[in-house]
Parts: sequence; structure tokens; C-alpha cells
Amino acid sequence: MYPARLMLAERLTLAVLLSGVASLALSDFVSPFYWVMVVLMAVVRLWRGPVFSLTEMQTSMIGWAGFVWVGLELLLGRALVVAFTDFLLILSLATVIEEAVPRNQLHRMLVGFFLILGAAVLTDSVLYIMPLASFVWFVWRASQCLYGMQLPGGDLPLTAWRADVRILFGMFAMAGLLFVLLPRFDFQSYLKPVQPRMQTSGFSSQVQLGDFARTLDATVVLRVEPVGDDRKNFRNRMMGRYWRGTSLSTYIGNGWKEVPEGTVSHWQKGSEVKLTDEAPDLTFAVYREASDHPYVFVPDGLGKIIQIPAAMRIGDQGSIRFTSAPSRRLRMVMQSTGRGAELKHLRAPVAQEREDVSVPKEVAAWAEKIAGDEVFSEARLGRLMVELKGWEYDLNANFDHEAPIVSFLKQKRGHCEFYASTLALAARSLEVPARVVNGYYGGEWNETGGFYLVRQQHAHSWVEAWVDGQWQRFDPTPASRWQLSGVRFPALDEVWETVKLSWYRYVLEFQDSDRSQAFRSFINLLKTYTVWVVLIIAGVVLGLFMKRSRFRFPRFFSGGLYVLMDAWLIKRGVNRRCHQPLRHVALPKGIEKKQWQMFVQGWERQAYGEHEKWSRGDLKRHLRALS
Amino acid sequence: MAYDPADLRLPSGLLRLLDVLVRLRISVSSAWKIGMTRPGVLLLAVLVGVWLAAFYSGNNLLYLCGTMLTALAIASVWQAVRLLKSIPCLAVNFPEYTQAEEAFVLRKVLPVVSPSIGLVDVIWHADVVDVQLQLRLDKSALLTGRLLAGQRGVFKLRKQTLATSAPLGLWQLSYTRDEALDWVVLPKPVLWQALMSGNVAERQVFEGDELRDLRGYMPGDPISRIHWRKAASDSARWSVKRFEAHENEIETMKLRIDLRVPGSVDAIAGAKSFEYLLSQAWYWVEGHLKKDTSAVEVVLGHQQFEFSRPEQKQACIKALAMATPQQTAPVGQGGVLLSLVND
Repeated sequence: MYPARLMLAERLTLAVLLSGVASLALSDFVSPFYWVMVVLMAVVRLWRGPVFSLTEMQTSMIGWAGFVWVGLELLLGRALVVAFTDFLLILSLATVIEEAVPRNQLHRMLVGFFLILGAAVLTDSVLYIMPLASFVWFVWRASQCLYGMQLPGGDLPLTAWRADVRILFGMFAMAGLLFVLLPRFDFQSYLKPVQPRMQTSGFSSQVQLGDFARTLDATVVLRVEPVGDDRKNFRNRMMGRYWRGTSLSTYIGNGWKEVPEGTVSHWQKGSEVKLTDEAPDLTFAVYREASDHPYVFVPDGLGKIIQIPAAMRIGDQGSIRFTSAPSRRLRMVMQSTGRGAELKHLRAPVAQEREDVSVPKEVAAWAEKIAGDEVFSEARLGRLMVELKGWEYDLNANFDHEAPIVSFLKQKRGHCEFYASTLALAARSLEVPARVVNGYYGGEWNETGGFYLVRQQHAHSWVEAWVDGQWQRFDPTPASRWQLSGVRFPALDEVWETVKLSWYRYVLEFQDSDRSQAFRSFINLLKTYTVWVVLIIAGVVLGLFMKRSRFRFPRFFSGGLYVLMDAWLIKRGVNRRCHQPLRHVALPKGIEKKQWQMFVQGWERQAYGEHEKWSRGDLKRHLRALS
Repeated sequence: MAYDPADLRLPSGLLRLLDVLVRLRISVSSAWKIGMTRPGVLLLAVLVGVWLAAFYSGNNLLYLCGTMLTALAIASVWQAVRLLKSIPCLAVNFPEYTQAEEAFVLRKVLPVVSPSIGLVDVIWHADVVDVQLQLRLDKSALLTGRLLAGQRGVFKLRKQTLATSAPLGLWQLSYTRDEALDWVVLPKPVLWQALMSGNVAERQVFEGDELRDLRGYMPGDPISRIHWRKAASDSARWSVKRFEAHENEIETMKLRIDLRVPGSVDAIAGAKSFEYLLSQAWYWVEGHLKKDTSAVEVVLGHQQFEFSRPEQKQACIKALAMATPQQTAPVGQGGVLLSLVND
């Protein structure tokens, strides 16, 4: 039979360790096998108690085996930090089932520390705050429990968990303040939090028709929030924008691929990319989720990208991409002009965008028929668009993989990729240079947080055609496309996305500049509520003064201590006569004689000036202790 | 404490370093000092590591971890400060007096509502000896300690240091405050019996007829009142007869202590005799301390104390503890005389 105190320490240190494991489990880089094993063993240990244990030597062997295993993982090419976390999880497993000796408690807490720190690098999830908060709380309680064990005079009891609430609140407030005040340095980025790369399809230099945007995937790709602009203006101006990704110029029969870039400009991290000569008038921040492709999605009318977060290259065919796909979320501040601004980096059409040899003859015939006798390119394309927009939008339409466009023409139903491909090929057959552009369209407005969300389901294909000496956008997809959504609980989702963006904005992406901005906002707030601020400060000063000077309200106002005392006595069946000293009243019900005598002694000491006078709060506290 | 990093089988060099760090005390102000325990050193090492990583990388989650752990460390210090500040004046719990070479076990429950749970070491600094007590704060506050002084005297305890590593056992916080107390240490009492008729106390006798009861013999009682028949059977406990009319009797017991040391003996022997004299005097005084019915008077050299007045009773005890040899005879006349000098 194990002592109750040891069992309590056992549970608390296990909770510390499991908080660390939970934080690491948030990262997709960590194999679920490891953390599931730890959790299972922890459950069994909690169920069976320290009976379920291995000797220190055996657990040490597990640790060494883990070390060798991680060495092998490194040799097999696993990333160092990931291998390190695997090792930590193996150590966690060993400490969970280690025999219950004092050393074991320390092992668990130390491994817990390393797990929570490892998770700070391997995840950027907003959920991380939960294991972190529980970790801090359990460390507090476990330390308190271990401190109070084996003391001279016996173990000290643990405080009630309710007493910890105030301390925890204070700790979190202090942590928040320190977080804002401490300066930020950025010497390197190896320890930056990383995010699992989102697996997307469609955004590559070559796509197969039918692969792209076939499901209503609610995964968020971009979050766009205003910077120093009012919400309403931002909402109106950003509504229905096209987010350009990759432009695909070469038709390969059943798909598209990019043409090699001509002139490429390279931009280093931190530099400012200017795309138009027009003065931008709308500033916004784009949070790009980590992805398996390097494309940067930019809205139409983009003027500038300020202080790019990683090195970029901009090709003359219109694609902007990072030099390598970033493994974590990035914040980019962009400035936009009007929607029709000309992008100066786009070059004139190349041969691949003009060639009509690969255009299926069915498409050419259809284009000729629809365009009819129109002379101007824009009008001809307009006719084709009107025709296509009248067809049915269907994400799950069957098509012939060998001749997808021909089958689309026959069925007159399909998704945006078919519409865009058909229009681009039809335009080429009408001797208008054209290409397909993949990206996103629109997005959804989050009213709670005041930002736009672009999800995977907003992925879209459209056409750019060379008309009147410039690239113009043509979107033949029926409008019914935008009535579809894969979001199951929109209201909840809106709140959750707001929380996530706040996390990214105010925690993950917090910078020195944000501190000054927060300070300015604070000053503005103070200015707005000057009267209240002055009143609160005066109240606090007055309160402190009264506390220091031991000021007491006159008896008629506060009721005096005796009023409180008498009320308490009456509840316990004692009716004290006026001027009857406490030592002469009967023993109140439910109170031990010795305790009562001590209380009376304390009362008299303060009453006769031997001790400091009690306030009402002091008396209440003493009475609570007495009961 | 059950989580000592020494349990981790660290290399001996590292353990020595731990011990050096644990011995360090940093003065925060004139009253407060802070140091670390072994787990505290471990936490500090973790904190340093986290902050270095955070500053190096600019990783805001590492900043968050660092701020959380720092807040935990600060909160534990803050709790310890509140705990130490909540401890009331302990002087009232100190015994009125103790006796030399005799351990006094102090064990008192205090009416303290502590903001936290913990063990506080209380060290009272005196010029000759430090008093070490321990205050255990949980649901109640229990003050314990062992008071032992090797010699008679009044020790002036002025500064009190309260030290604790509560609530988490990470930091050793000590708070020195002014709390004045005179620790009165009296000599070990020496049993003696004042049987000589010439030294019998002055007494106003109110004779009665009916024997009421017996009480224990006290030095100074008239020999005629001793119940000799009872004393014959139990020589260790003498009893004194009391008569009915004694109900309203006012007895005046008087002890006169001559603080002169004879010049014929050498200094060491004189001092020894003087201490012996005081031990005898203390035996007599202690016997009369709690007797409310008796009107007791003590003459200590030039000083005169009447026990009917409580403040004089205290003063008498203190004077006895502080007594030094004098050159002149005690004032007054009559009563039991204790003297080393034959006049």
C-alpha cells in the first residue's frame, strides 16, 4: 500500500508530463505512435498505481534504446528536431512506467519541461496554449506537493485548487505583460515555430485537368485583415477579388503546364516589392498558411509587398513565388491600388500562349459557332463567356480522362477548371492569346474578427487573354459555384477562426512594432476614458491610503466588528448581551472549545492594542478559519 | 522536500556547484534576502535556457513559455513574501521565563490565517545566543521550538529572521524584522526549607478553632502549623494545617535576599555561591508566584517587590534573572533572609 501523499505526487507529476506530451501531440511532425503509447501507459499507471512499474535499470535501458533508435532515425534522414522529440517521447514513456521513487518525480517534471519547449518549435497551433497553461498549473501543484512531503513534523497538506485560481490568474496576467514588454530579437529562424505543410493539389507548375478544386475543402489558405483601415471600407474593397497564383500556358491534352520564365527578378527577405506605378491606397496583412508549394497568392490590383518575409522570385509570366516553399505560416503586408491596375512585370504573350495546334477541333468548331460574326476579340470572348456561364456547375461531373474538354463540351457541366480551359483553348482557336490562371476567388468575410478568409474551397481557375495589348481576365464559371460551401457550423467556425487569427496576429507574429502600436492604442484608450481613469486611480490611491493608515469608517457607517460578530454568534445559537465580553459568552455551536478560546484571545489582543486592529475582512477570515 | 536534484545522480562536480549556488544569498533590501534551493537552481537553469533560445530565435512561443515559467517563479516568490509578511508578532507566544540548563519545549497554536502553506524557520538573534523556532503553517499555525540557555540572564532578542522556501520549495526567502523581546532566563531552582525559627516569616495570626484542611508546606510557614504526624509517614511532602478562621486571613510572606558576596572567598567560589543563592531565591519566588491568596514581598538587595501588583511580580522575575552582587545589605527587616554574609 502506497502513502496517499505519494499517490497524489504521482498523479500530479504524471499530469505535468502528459501536458508536455499533449503539447507535442499538436504537431503533425510527431508520430502519433509515440505519444499514443505514452498516453496508454499513463492511463494504465493511473489505473494500477505504482504497482505497474519497471525498475530504474529497466527504464534506463528503454531510454538508451530510444537514444540508439533516434540515432538510426537521424541516419535515415529524419530532421534533428523531430528525432529529438521522438527521443523525448521515448523518455516520457520510460518515466511514466518508472518505479515510484523521488527521482522519478523529477524525471517526469524535467521531461515535461523539454516536451513543452519542443512543442514551442514544432507547432504553432492556438491549442498549444491549453497544454501550456495546464502544464504551468500542474507544475505549481506538483512542486507544492513535493515541497510539502517528508518535512519535519509530517507532510504539509496541499492548498485547495480554488486557492490556485487567483494565483494562476495573476501568473497569466504577468506572463502577458512580460510577453508584450520584452524586446524581440531575430538572429536566426531555425527555432521558429513550424507548421505541418498543408497538402494541396493544383498549385504546381503542371496540373492534370480534373484534379483541381473538386472538393469543398474548408481548410483555410489565407487570412486577410486590414492594417490601419476601417473594417467596412476594407470589406467593400476586398470583396470578390481574384487571388492570382500560377499561370499555365502550355496545353498538354489532358492538363496544363507553365512555360519557362523569361525575365526573373529576385527579391531578398525584408525588401519591398513594387508591382505598379500607381499609388496604393489600401494596406492589408495576408497570413499565408504553410503549404507544399511556393506560390504567393496576390490579389488583383496589388501595388506593393512590404518587407517580404522570405526570399521571392517574380517571373514575367505573372507568378510570384518564394525561392523555396516556406514550412511555416508567414505574414505579408501588402498594399493595393484599384482593381484594374496594370502589372508592369507581365510580359507579352509567348508562342505557347498563341499556339492553336493542340486545341481540339471540337473546341475550335464550338468557338467559331458561338463567336459568330463578332469582329472584336473582346466581344467574341464575351459571347463565349455568356454561353459558358449558362452551363451547369458540377464538381462531380464524370469526364473522359483522354479528352476531358471534349467530354465537357458534350455534357455542358463541370467545374471551373473545365470552363477556364475551354475558354482559353477557344480563345486561342480564335487567334486570341490566352492562358489559364489558377488561384482563389473571393473568400468569406468574418464579421466577428473583421477579416477575410480564403479557404481551399475558394480555389478557382480563370482565363487571362491578351486583348488590346494587355492581359485581361475572363471568368466563364457560372455564378452558382459560389453558393457552395463545405463549412459545417458557420457561426462556430467564425468565432474559431477569429481566435486563430488573433493567436497568429497577437502571439505568433508579435513584433517590436506591435508593442509601440499597443502602447499608442492604450494611450488613446486612456484619452478616451480620461475621467474614468482618473477616478479609478484616485480610488486606488484612496484605498491604499486607507489601508496604510488603518482608517476605519465610523461605526454607524461600517457597523463595527461587533455587529458582524454578533450576527455570527446568533447563527450559532449564542445571543451576546450588550457590553458582554466575548470570553463570557457561551461556547458557540459546532466550535471546539480550544479553538474558541484561541479566537477570543486573538480578539482581545487586537481589541486592547496588543496586536494590530482587525478589519472586517480580518474578522471574516478568522471566523471562517474558526468554522 | 521530496524533489532534490541531488537524487538525479549528478556528477559530484555538478553537485558541488549546486551547493555553492544554494549557499548564495542576494540582498534585495535591508530586510529581504533571496537564495535558491536545489530545485530552484534547476528551474533557473531551465529559464536561462528558454530565454536564450527565445532571444536567439525570436520564437514567440518560446517567449510565451519563458514568460509563463518566469511568472511561475515570480508568483512563488510573491507567495513566499505574502506568507512571511502575514506572520504576526511572535513575542506574545514566548514563555514568560525559562530556567537555565533546562530545555523548554515551545508548542503553540497561533491564530494565523496564512495565504499559503509552508514551513517557516524563525531565528531570533540575541547578543549571546540565537533562538531557533519553527512555524508550521497549514490549516492552523503551529509554533514549535526548544529553548535552552546555559546561563541565567535577560537576553535581548531584537532582530528576527523568518526564512522559508514555501510554497514550491524553489527559493529560499528570508525576511528580517524588528521584534524586541527580553528572554528571561532564571537560575535552576534549588530546593531548600526555611526551618530556622529566627527566619520565620512575619505573620499576622488569626487563630481559629476548626481544622479546615491541609495544604502543602511552603518555606516560611510556621513550624507549629506543620502536620508532623503526616510528615512522619511521608517526609518528602510536608503539609500545613489550615483552620476555619483562616479564610479571611491575610498572610504576608517576605523574602529578603542579601546580594552581598563575602570578601573572604575567591571570585570563582563567590560567583558560584552567589548563583546558588539566586537559585534558592528563585525556588522561593517560583513557589509563591501563582499563590493569589498570599501577600508576598521580595526584597532583592535595594529593590523591593510586592506580588500583589502584577507588574512588580514581572519586575521581580526580571531582576532576579539580572541580579548582580551588591555591596550593601538588603533594605527592610524581617521575613526569610537569604544571605551569604554573616553580619
